[in-house]
Amino acid sequence: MEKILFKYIDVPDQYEIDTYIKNGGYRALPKALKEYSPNDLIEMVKKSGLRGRGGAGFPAGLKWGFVPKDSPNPKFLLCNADEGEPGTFKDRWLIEKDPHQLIEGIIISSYAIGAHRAFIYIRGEFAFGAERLKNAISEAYQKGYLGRNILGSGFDLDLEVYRGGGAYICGEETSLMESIEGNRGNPRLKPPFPASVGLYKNPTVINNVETLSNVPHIVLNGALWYAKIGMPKSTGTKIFSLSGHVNRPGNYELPMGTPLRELIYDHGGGIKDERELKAVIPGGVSTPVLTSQLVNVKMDFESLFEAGSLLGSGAVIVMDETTCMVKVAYRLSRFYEHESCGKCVPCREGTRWIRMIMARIENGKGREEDIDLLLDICTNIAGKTVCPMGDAAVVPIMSTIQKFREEYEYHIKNKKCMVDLGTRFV
Amino acid sequence: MDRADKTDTDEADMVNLSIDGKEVTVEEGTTILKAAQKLGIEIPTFCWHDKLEPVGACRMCLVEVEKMSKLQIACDTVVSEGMVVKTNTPQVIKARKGVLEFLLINHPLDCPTCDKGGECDLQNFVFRYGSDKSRFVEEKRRFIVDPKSKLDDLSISPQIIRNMNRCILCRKCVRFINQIAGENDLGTFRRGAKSEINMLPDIPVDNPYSGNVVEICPVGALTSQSFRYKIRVWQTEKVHTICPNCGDGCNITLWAKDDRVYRITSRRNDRVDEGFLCDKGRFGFEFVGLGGG
Ligand SMILES: Cc1cc2nc3c(=O)[nH]c(=O)nc-3n(C[C@H](O)[C@H](O)[C@H](O)COP(=O)(O)O)c2cc1C
Ligand code: SF4
Repeated sequence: MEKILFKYIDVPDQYEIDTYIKNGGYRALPKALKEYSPNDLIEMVKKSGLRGRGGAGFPAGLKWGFVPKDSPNPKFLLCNADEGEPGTFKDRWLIEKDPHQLIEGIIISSYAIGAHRAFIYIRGEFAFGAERLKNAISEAYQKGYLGRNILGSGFDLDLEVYRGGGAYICGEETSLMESIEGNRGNPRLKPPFPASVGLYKNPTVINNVETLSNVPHIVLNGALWYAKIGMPKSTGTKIFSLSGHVNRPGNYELPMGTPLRELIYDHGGGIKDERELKAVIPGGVSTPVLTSQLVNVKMDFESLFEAGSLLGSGAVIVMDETTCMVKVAYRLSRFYEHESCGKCVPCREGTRWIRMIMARIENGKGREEDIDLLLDICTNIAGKTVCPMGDAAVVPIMSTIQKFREEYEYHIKNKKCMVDLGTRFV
Repeated sequence: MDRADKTDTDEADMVNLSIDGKEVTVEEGTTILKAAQKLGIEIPTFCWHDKLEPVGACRMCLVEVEKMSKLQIACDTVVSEGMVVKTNTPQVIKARKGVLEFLLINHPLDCPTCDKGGECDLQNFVFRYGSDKSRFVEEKRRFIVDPKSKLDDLSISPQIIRNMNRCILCRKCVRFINQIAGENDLGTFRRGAKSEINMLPDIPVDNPYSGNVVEICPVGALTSQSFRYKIRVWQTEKVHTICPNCGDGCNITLWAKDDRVYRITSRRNDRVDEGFLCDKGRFGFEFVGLGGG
């Protein structure tokens, strides 16, 4: 099938505005400004079925519709380019290789919600991407796509790049706002939701890079065109960041609902060294691990939910038979301990405790009662924290115990991995 | 903090709800916590403070609300008509026990030498809702201020001493300094389990209301130089009086024994002092009982 977001991803100069325009870019913007009212655009995005690509899959048009129309306050559009979910590296490509596609999406989306200021919040480590974006933004200003009275429409928009300091939690929408405001990156309590009380307490829409990059294509080709791609409730394409024990790791743009098997074997070239597939984390490390039996699952929001996991950010981490699941869980427990912002008690204290127990098990000092203790600590975190990070932190532990409990038991009894790790560092 | 933003002339809309089977009618915009207080039902909290913006950080006030799948924080969940709240179900009790366990695993348990003993929220809530067994077998986290002396204490102002190991990170101190005193003398540094409350690098806390953080601290993380190690609170006598230092006349309590004053705390009177004292009133009592008469 024809690619949408990645259509020109291999064109070397696509990041330059002239190349982007030559390849059909900045054609959706005048169309949006001249032919549609902001409300038409919100309805169009609703009809397209576009859902957020940042992890939660919230319908984009619905979110835009929550912005109060009669509010006298300024409104903001934020593009979430924090891309912190381990395994995810798609936004980086969209930013570095086709920044104008994103910028065009941001301008149209800002017009739709009535924002005159927009920010791209990009993770600190993406220094190159931030440069690319800044250059692209100044090109867009020069051509009159940003600034005052864009293309004679009377619509004004200023767009800025804001570089984060490299904290996972600053990808969470309210921490991201705190961070832009110059505060410590800690989540706020919800409600109120950003659509009414967001950046500087003003109505704010926040969307992921991939979500916003889809918008120009929807405007150009129509909502129905988009809705026909993929699955009925998960429309469009999805960029899957494929990593782990596959022959051809990388970003693959495929229709929603593409079977996992096709992604791994046809696109990813199958498992390395012809080993057996053991497990897959289908949507970034905050989503429950799937066993190899579920390799035929379709990659969309509904199908993965039914299979007991989530589509998340679309980061597919493939693990072969030489992978020790205890080691995987231990590694991820270190990530969550390190990234917990420390605001609320269960996540702050619980992630550290979990990591300590995991370290003991991994190092041959596990006790029989540790497995149930881990599960109980997870229960005391899940659903009891300020932000969803607490729920995410327990996912790798709970799902590996649920599906690979015997490996934990073996580790505790025999003080070593159940699997033969082979010669390779896993 | 009046969520409903009512003016005096507005007639407040009232909301009916039930908490633990008891009916109560409160103004629209009221939180579950306030409604429960009206009924005399205790919902334990660490980070909540009447005069500060809620942060919902301690998770101690989680309660069950019918039709909501997750437990909700009582301190920042606004009531709605017909709401059914339960504060005493097995799920709520487990959540509370969980929070207390998380707070205790790294706590030094040095209550015998802690000035807060006897009036410590952590001590009291563990007594009431906690467990007497520990499941934590790992090494406790320790914030060492000075690697040579291995001391936990850090002077953050001439009067205030910080012991990070006792801190539960409710951030009431930071929020007070910021929201009430209007300064930025205190902040939260680092992240996750390494988070700590501290002054700015080498800039001691210096504002005329700083002493309130000692009183606000729910545990023994912030104590005052003048009261430290002098006496156990329950061995003192409380004398209610008025601060003589200025015409404001803040309501205060003297904590005294044998004609000696050990400390002064606020005796909140919202018409006068909002429950806060200035440092002159709080710490300026050395002259009391010194000869003369
Ligand atoms: C701990 C945490 C980290 C997150 N990190 C990111 C991120 O790096 N990028 C992102 O787009 N969304 C991230 N999110 C989701 C955002 O909060 C938000 O839902 C998203 O940006 C909304 O955009 P969307 O609707 O277009 O997906 C994160 C959420 C949490 C709880
Ligand atoms: S769940 Fe974790 S990351 Fe989220 S607010 Fe609480 S401590 Fe911070």
